[in-house]
Amino acid sequence: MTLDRRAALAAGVTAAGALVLAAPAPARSGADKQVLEQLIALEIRLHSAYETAARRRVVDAGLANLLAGHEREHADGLARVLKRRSGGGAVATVPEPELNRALSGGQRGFLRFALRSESEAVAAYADAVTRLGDPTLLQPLGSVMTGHAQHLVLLRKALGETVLTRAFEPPERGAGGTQSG
Amino acid sequence: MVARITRRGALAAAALGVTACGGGDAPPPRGPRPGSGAGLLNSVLALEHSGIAAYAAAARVSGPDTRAELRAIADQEMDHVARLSKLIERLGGHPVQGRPAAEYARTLPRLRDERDALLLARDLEERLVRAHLDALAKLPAGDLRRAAAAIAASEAEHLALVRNLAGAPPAPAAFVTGTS
Repeated sequence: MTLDRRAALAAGVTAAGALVLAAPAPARSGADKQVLEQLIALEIRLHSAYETAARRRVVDAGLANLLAGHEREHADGLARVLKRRSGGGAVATVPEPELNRALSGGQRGFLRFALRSESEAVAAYADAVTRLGDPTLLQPLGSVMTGHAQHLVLLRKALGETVLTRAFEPPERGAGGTQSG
Repeated sequence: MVARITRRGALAAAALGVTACGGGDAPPPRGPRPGSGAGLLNSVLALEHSGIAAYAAAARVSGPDTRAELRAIADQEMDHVARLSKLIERLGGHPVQGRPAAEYARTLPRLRDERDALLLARDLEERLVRAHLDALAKLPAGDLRRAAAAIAASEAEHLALVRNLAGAPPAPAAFVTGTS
């Protein structure tokens, strides 16, 4: 267990470090900056959702705190990149109107909302990497995306659903493949 | 620890063997243009082929519940193979083919039980995540990157499932690099 934690920590530090190392120069384009801002806003919304769910005891606190912690790490890493590249500061986010509805739906309602949100996060990163001009950002952003993909597994398990639902995450148009669940 | 290193080495050898058989060859005169990504995708494809063989071996020594999960993962790896092969063909390349099962069997470690099977699966999925993220960083912008991302995310799901089957936390880190 100790070794697992050390290894996991080392891997996390490596990826978070890669995000920082990927940030020595000003942003190559306004487009990259915009992409980073959108992803930070997404991470902050997710963090806030999990934190609220844990505080209101809508879902298991262990799960919600784990996921909130991951989203915070993602947001902090991306914010450091943005700040070093463009001097950009905090990213404004608006409250998720859907969150209150999800919270009022109890554990299942929130888990469904979280599953949908994590799926959208994976799709947002998969879309971002097709457009980014700076290749040094691709691998670190990819490692955030794969983090979100693992959240899908946790949430499907918590919902008691089939863990593996498709061979491509997000599903690719025209890719074919096994689809279930 | 020694056994684990041996398993990693054996799996790497299996993958590299296939790569050398096809993916690493020089492109034919009228093949894909340099930098198209075809060679890179072929290297990842070789690893996917060896992964399917590894999952077949792992399923054989596992109990019914784990076997069903490992087969579900292998089915998705086959979908990845099909997708990667189509992309390589579209780029004018020749997708590397899988080797006969007996050839993979010679290079895979000896699996005694389900625990060994899950160790192998975990190592394999870490390699696959790493390989697809490496590819993502080197592929040209556009749908090739999207495909690499979609498969990397799928491999990360497999890694979480395999960790869970082994009794480990499925998602222990915020960043999944395949290097843990």
